[in-house]
Amino acid sequence: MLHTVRPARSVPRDRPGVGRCVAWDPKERATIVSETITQPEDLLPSVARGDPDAVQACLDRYGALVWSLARRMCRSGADAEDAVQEIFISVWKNAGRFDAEKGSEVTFIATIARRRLIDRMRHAGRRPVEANIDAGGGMAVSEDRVDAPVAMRDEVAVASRAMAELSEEQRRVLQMSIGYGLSHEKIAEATGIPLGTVKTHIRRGLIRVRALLEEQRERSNRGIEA
Amino acid sequence: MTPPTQPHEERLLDLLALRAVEALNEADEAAVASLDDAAAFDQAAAVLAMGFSVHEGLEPLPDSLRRGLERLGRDLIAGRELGNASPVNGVAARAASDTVEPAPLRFNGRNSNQSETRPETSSHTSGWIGVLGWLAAAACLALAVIGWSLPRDTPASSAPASAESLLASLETRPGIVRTSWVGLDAAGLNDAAHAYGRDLSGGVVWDPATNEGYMVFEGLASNDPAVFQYQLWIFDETRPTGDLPQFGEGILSQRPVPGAVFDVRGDGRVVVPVQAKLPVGKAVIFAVTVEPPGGVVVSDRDIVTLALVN
Repeated sequence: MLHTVRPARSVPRDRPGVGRCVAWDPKERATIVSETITQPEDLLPSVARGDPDAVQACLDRYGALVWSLARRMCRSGADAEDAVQEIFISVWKNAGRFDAEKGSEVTFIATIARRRLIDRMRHAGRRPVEANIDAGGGMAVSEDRVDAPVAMRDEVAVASRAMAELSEEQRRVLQMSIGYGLSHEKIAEATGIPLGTVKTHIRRGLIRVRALLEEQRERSNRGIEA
Repeated sequence: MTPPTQPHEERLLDLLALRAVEALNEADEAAVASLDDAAAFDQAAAVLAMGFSVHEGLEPLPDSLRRGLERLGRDLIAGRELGNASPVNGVAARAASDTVEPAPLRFNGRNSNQSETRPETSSHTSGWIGVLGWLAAAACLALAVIGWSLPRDTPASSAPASAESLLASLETRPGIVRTSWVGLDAAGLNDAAHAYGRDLSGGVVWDPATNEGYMVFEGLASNDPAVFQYQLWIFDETRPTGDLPQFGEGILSQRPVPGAVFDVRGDGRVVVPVQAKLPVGKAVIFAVTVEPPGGVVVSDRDIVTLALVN
């Protein structure tokens, strides 16, 4: 079974093409050559050159992600709409700063989105609505690949892999913090987990994902498969 | 094994982790924001957020928001001053200047021409509160909800035969809900109802199990789709409330689930699929509003009619 698809980065990500792809074996945690997929062409370089079609394509490819992030971290739909507008304007205006060597395009956009959302929360002096939080830890820890859009598969795979390594309590804390924007204090209050432990869970989760991303980036830059 | 970290490194990691999920105070932000590690933590948080969103299911960008963004994008590419070229100029100007402030403005995919050509109705607040007041005063409406059956012997149907047959099929299912449109104009409290649904009858047949349903209208005013369209909203008892407190309290303060955006041609019977855009746990109110072409994400709630589920 194919569990997680990731491209061999011998094909630069900012160019279209078909690369040799590898998949994780969930037991061995090694990578094996599995299949080929077509990597979508990065759009931000075209946006930076002033291509109006790239702007449209950017909405097609990333609109649902940005909207979904905003809906989870904004108190109301109107707030989310404002936030999405700010985010896309910021993405387009900063398109020239995107560097595929430092991370994927979707990560670049999601990072801008989150910083905007966090800034908005800070300026509004409030937290998002606490709703729809799954007490079970949220993200599936199965290694089965979810139906992630092609442009996000690598990143979703990294997130899934990191979450699979964590306890249910750690996963839940991360979901409440990162998935829904709840404060450390609110999470501690809602779960009964000591505040210091909440902070530790979040920190460890982030450090683990950072390490996996770095590992992925190095592999991509070397263009090798284990 | 991870090497032991020094206290200041621990403090730095704490700050970086906190910054990735919450806002730091200005002094701490200034101290760490430019570090490479800050970007790495940001990326890690973004990837996790992406994972959560994808696993829970991405919501498509609402159509009206999408159209507004397309306009913004075109303006940006054309090199126009965003602050002067867009109905969301306040937001655009803020993002362009990288100064993030609370955003008081929003757009609903409307433009000024549409607003001007659309018949005048009450303001959204007064209209909706008027509805609320009327509803509160008319508890007997609940009786009208019970036992209503869709009239199907009306000639000159303007609905497609397939919708009629699907409606007939739905009505045979066990567990379906039937509810009637209520005559909001009767109390003289809602201008939209008076303008478009004065002699309205019909209702909704809804299957809670499958989220399939049909609306039946008789007497709903014809519309020019270039000027305005009707839109259905479903208030769901299982969804959060408080998103839109300006429209009322309790269930009425929630962001309802959008349904079909539709047109009415002619004076006859019209059957329209409900087309809920999100899963509905327990529908308690179906409301029809008048909206700009294409519908909106957040309605001003110029209510034409509504139906209560007992």
